[in-house]
Amino acid sequence: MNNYKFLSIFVCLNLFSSCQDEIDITLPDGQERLIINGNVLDNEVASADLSWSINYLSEESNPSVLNASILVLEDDIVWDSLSHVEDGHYLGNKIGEIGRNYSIEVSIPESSDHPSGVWKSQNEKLNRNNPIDSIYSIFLPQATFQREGYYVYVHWSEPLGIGDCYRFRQWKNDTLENAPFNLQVTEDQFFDGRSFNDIDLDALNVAGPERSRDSTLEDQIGIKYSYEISSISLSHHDYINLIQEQTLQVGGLFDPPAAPIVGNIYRGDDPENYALGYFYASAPRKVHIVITP
Amino acid sequence: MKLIKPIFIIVTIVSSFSLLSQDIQISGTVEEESSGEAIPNISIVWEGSSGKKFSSTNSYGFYSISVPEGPGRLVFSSFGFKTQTKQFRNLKKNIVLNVSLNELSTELNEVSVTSEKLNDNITTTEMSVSKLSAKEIKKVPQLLGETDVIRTLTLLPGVSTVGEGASGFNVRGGNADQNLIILDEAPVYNSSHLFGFFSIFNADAVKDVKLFKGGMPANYGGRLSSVLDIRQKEGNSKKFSANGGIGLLSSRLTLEGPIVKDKVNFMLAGRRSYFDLFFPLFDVPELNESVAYFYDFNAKLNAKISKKDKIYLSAYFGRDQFSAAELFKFGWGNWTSTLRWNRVISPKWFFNASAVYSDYKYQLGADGTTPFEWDSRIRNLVQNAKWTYYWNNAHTIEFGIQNTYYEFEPAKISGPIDVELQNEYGTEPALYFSDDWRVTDDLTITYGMRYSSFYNIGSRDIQTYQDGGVYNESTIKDTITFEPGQIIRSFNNLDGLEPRLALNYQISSNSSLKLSYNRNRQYIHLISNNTTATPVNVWRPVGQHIEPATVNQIALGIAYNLKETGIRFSTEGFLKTFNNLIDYKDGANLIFEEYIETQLLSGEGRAYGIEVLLEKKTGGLTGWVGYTLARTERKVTGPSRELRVNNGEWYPANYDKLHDLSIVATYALSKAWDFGGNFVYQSGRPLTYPDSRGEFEGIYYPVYTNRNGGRTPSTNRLDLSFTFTPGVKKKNKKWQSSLSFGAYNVYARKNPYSIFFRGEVPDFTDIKAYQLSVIGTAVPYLNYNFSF
Repeated sequence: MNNYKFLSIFVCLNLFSSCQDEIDITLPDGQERLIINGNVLDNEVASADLSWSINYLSEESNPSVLNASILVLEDDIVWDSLSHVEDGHYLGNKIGEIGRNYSIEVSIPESSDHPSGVWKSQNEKLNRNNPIDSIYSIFLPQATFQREGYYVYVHWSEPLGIGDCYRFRQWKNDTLENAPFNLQVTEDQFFDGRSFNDIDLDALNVAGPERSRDSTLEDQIGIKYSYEISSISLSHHDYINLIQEQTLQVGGLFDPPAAPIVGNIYRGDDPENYALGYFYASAPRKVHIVITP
Repeated sequence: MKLIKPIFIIVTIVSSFSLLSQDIQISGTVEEESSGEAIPNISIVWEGSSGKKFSSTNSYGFYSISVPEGPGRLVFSSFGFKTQTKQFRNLKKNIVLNVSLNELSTELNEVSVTSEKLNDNITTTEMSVSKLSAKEIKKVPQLLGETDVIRTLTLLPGVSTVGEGASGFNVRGGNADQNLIILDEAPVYNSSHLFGFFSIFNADAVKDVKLFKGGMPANYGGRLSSVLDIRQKEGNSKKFSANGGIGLLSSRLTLEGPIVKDKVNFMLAGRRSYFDLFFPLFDVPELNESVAYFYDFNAKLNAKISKKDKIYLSAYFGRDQFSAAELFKFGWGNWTSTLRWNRVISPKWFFNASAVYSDYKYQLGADGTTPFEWDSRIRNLVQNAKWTYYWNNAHTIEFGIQNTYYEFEPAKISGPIDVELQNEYGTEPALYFSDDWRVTDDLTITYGMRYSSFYNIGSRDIQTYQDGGVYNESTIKDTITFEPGQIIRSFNNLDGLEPRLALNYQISSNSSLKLSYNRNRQYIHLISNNTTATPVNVWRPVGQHIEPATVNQIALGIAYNLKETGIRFSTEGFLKTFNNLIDYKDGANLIFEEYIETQLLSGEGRAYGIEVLLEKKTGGLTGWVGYTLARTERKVTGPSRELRVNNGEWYPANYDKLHDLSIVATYALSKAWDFGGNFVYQSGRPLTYPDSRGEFEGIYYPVYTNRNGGRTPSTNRLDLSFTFTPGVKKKNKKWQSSLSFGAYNVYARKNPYSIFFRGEVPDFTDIKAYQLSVIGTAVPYLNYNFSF
């Protein structure tokens, strides 16, 4: 499959001779904001990562927050306390429960370098999910828009009842594929209660051969693919969608307007003063496969 | 039926005035000698012992002028036509006088130019109006040599686009959806081929183009910022003729001729692009199974069914189609058709009625293992009736009624699960009246009033929300079901009054001062938060939770003509204030959204500026220099952060450009060679730059707080063209041809369309800034045109 070349030619034909050139530009240093990325899962202990925002073009990592106090609330009652492990990463002790509501409360002590105060998230419900039925690989020959190689598929059934949202993630040899275009979320309105089992609906395609011309069939043998389907809230679905939309802008004619990416965490009770990042609750279901001949 | 009674009363009252008049009425039509096409805007001057009287032809070539008994002469003149004079030794009764005018070549025009011909811009109350003939449009160098009506309009002051390739155009700070584009009276909802690179109007089928940027006549309404009125050719009623062209992008052919000489004639035009035919050259199998083309057809049939009646049937059909084997398919297109009836009721009365159907739809989908098809469309049925009463030479009165019926089908998806959004229905009736009043020889006022209303009608389920004007999931109160035909909400109050005023004070024979005011109301919106509209954006009407948008515009201008030189100068200043403009919540999801009000915000806008236009219409060197200095801003305030944009502060609109300069010139190098050139300079357009960097689970993302707070650098571009027309000396030669070649963006300037940021492979954390140039190189072209 040579989709990349095909699409390049197609786009070039349509846009004649558009071009992108790297340029030097100086961006302003905006207001420093706290970044909180935390979660409660139904199969791992609660965790959070804290850092500060920096200039968008900075070559450094966002500075970590090492001195925060973090509480997690279940149905508005203090439920767990998270401790700092390393580099702004905090871990709790408890595992979440489907159907419960969770929120996070982060306190930063006063200092001359960074803002201080208390940041609180809105409640996130830990939504239901079904286990993944199976994962398998098959060999497919060369065809139009299909490169020869091993393709990985997953069978999974979506719980009946509209209103569920999901996030999909995949790992290759235990490395999360985590570029903005790997962000995948969906609502269930188009497949509510249906099964992706090749009988009702097509199985979910997880992975396939590399697009690179240099990669061979043998290169795929022994690769471990992991796939995860997590239940998420509609609000988290919209948040991830917005991150993808805003990070994949190509400056083109049909780009959506630049928009602030606001999660569900606010400083004190002030809805105007928000932290970056998101606190979510989720029921992830994960499967693995190693490609064999 | 309720409307018939008041109209009858108006007709009766106005008719009774004519009894008071003692003048003789000369009326008739003015046509082009060679083709029989009606010619609008012909200046008609009566020169008699008691002085001069003035009139002009309307859009259908009809005129009527009141003159005193006795001797005199009637002079028919217009730019580009040989003047014709009719002598009357002793006029005693009303007469019908149909006139045919001969077209002049550019060179002849130079020597025969008279002040009357050039001064139509001085004597008319029309201001903020740009007129282009197909001939003028064809002279302008174009991208790939494709003669493009809209691209040419953007070279005029006050008209701009977001950038190269952007769909639609912006007039004096208005969004692209604020332009009423009508083709033979039929509304067109997407004027672009190839995502915005070309317009759907085939210049060979176009007779003339008129753009109202302000001071709109009362018969136009429904959009805030402009009216682009495009008339298709009627077809040659004298002889069969054809013309066409072969270009790099597309080829076209137009046929016209009489079916019954001087009575029934037709025009047929077609155009198709063919860049997909070159796909096999790339040796990519996937391309061989792909499709990428556009085409359009124009047709018109005219019939003079009696001395007083004429019927026209015109149609347009066009499509863009893209598909990549089973991966995806995507297509869109317009279909319009117009049935029009003109009747000369009496020497003083002219009547025009039309019935119009317009249909814009798009489809996208796939044919793979999970096939699906997504359809969306907007349909219109429009009825118009307009009466023109030439009361006397001081008053020309127009009045009429219109109704536009809308059917919106926002999304219908067939696939694994069939789903659809609810259709919406609406009807927009309007009444209008205007009087073109020549107060004195120096002062002319055109005043009028339009009254429009809108009824959003069922069937439809409507959500109601808690008080406070906040529409989201948490404020939903109830769902109400409306039956078919049941009125959901009506907009029929005094806010629907749209006064129109245009004033012309002639300072001297070659200069005038103009003033205009118009209020317009818009009841449908294009739901799009992209930088530029896409073919898949849907139109939605005002309704339970969406208010009509309004604009008030005032413009003041001066027109000055340099005597006997063919040079015209005009400048206009304008101020527009907008209310209830649609804007979008940050991160709004507009795709497949049933309750679109949950994604929308409402704001205000303002636009102000000065436009300068210097034109040379005659001689070997013709063209214009246009300059606009303008600002366009938006403001969305609300009780909370989610309901505000830019913290409630004014911010520049996407297409706000402070300076916009265009120089357009064509020069006859010799009898056989013509040279054309455009130079365009524009200020950069607004952009939003990130203030800082956030992170979500290892993905860096931009933090934006200042909407459109930055700008791209300025842009400039030069386009050149050469046209060789062999055998121009042989006047009777049937087959005539020309060869055009040139280049767009001659010095290959990489004009920035935007600046954006992207993380580098593999981990996307090394973020760099990039400049996108849509057309970053010189684009040459070669065209062969013919006619016989």
